[in-house]
Amino acid sequence: MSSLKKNIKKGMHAIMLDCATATLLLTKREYTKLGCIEKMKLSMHLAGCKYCRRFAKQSNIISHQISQMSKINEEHHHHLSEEQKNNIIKEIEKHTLTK
Amino acid sequence: MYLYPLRMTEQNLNNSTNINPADWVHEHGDYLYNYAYSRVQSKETAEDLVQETFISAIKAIKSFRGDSSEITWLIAILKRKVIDHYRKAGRNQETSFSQFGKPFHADGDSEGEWIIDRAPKNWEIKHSDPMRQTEFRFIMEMCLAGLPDKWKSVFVLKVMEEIRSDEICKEIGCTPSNLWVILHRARLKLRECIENRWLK
Repeated sequence: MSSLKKNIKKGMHAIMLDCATATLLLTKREYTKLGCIEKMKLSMHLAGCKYCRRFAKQSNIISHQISQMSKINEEHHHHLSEEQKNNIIKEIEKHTLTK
Repeated sequence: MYLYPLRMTEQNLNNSTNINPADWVHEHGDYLYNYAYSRVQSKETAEDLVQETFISAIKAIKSFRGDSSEITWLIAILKRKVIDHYRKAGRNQETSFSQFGKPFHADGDSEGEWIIDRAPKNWEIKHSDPMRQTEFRFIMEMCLAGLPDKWKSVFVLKVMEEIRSDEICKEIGCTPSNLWVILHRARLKLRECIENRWLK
């Protein structure tokens, strides 16, 4: 690569994000607020990159599903068997008796 | 000697005399188990954590003052157990960090750009279809279970328990900027795993 080409690329990097950095910002955005410049760079990148737009959308879906998963509702997905329960009760009783 | 209002003393007495482990386990066991399972994605570990929670609760029954409900109190203990579990797991997980190659070109002209084979594809998700929703959830749980413990721990602590970043770092041993990197890698890997199974 010629040095001119290299320099142009370097210069572009100051304004344009690559996908690796853009997705890192998208991850950060799920948890915290981005700074002004970060936001601007990100929206510029997203405007021109369909893969990162998809990543952003999928990232939202994943976050939403995980937060749904952490809420415990009345209908339980998993159950302790009677045997497991009895084992636990036995263990607890060991500790209450020795007290 | 008379520091506590009489009512509270009575309650303490009631609590310590009326506790029946069997009732406890039958009443709250499944609830705690679900909570634990959603956070550790392993049946054995979840069962162990539930058992440890009950035992700690019994030992500390005097500190339960009845100003929160029993289940809230038990969940608070279980939360602590989950964090401890991940702290222990996080210690010997450093090596797993490099096992997952990033889906971006590492050098050359397209450095930092998606490797086309691994770039996000269209998931074609329709929110209206409950069957597919359940399927998606199932796939996600499976993929989450497959993450190395240290990666899983940031998910669970950050997203599910909403613990502050600096506190997480204190527990599992990392720097705040390192935490973003771990979280990002975990999400990249999770995304790819879901996609491969979802579009199969």
